Amino acid sequence: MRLSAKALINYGSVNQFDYANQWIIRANEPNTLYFQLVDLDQDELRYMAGISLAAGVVVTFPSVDDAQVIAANAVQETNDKSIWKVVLSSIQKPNSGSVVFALTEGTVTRKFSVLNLISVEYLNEGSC
Amino acid sequence: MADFLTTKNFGTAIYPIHANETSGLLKRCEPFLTPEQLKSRFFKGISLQFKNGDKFTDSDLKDRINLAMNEAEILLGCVITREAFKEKIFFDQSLYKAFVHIQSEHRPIISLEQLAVVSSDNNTVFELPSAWIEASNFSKGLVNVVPLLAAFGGAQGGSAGMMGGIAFLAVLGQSSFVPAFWQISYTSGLSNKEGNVPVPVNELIGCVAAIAVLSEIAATHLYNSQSQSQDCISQSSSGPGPNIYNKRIEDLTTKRDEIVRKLKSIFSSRWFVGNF
Repeated sequence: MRLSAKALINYGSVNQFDYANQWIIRANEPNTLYFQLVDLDQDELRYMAGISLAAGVVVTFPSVDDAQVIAANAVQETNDKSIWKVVLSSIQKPNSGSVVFALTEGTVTRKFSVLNLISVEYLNEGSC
Repeated sequence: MADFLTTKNFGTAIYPIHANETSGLLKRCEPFLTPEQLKSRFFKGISLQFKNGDKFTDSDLKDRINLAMNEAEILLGCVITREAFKEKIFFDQSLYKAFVHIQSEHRPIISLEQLAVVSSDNNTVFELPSAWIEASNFSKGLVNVVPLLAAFGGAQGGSAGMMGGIAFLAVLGQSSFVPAFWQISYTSGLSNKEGNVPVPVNELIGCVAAIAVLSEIAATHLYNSQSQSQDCISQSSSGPGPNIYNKRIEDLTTKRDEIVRKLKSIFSSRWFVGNF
């Protein structure tokens, strides 16, 4: 089993959302990011985590600088156990690029990285 | 991951080089290219569908962008995202006398975390105070040690080790060459903001990805020409036959040779000049 995650946008409920290539967010704004766990070995079939064991997902937004790494606990949707959300405050500024997930079910932790899953726009992009 | 508790930088942008402030009127940097941007900027009016039903999905384009980003790094000879490096650099007496003059392998340097004399068994013999390090030429990968404050006795709060370093370096200055002497720990990349890249870099990545995708699609066009008579009783088609994939093979061969050439230049030295 090779897990991955798909970005969900325009999320209203478990029956109302759109799939997206990545989350596109603005820096310095609070953001709630939804994602769905999928199994790449089963043609991206959604993966219901924690059916028999307690599950938790930590979403990490990487950086080369330890001080800029953001690790946030995701919250599972009660009506669809494949869907999770992570809440970022306005002072949490992730970097654009890949996002790392760690799903723990019981004593087993599965980690995976999703390519270019987040795109962060800045107000002044005159230099970088 | 690296620790940036002690870090030295010049305080200006990486792109435009040495930009101290920007108005925000012009967008020069943006997040990594997305599949939507790739389609919008390079594939307007072009079908990404093959005749056999295959098509480039957004996941495929994401993968092509990743390939293109890696190829762009090789073409540019630098890393796009900010990454941490550690190198050991030779000691050369003439360069040492020219305010140390260390050239990093990767450039531009975003920040320098350490400049030290480190022994072969990884013991730090002497770490140069960051106050002595001149950061204004980091954009060129150039690190200089200009201890003006220390030389004129203006350094404040310097420890005994920090001030003793001047004498230490003066002694070592008698050697003409040491193959691995200075150790620098630094970060390099094309942007101060991680995940953001200069717009021309994104355009290069898009060009590389688009060339690869278009080359793949073009190879599946079966016919060079087709004609049909007015009464529709006869028609003829001509195609490349067994040469159908020749163009694609030619493109890939050119690309392979270019990548081999670039990788060789990264992993092997072509020449060496010394003044022992």
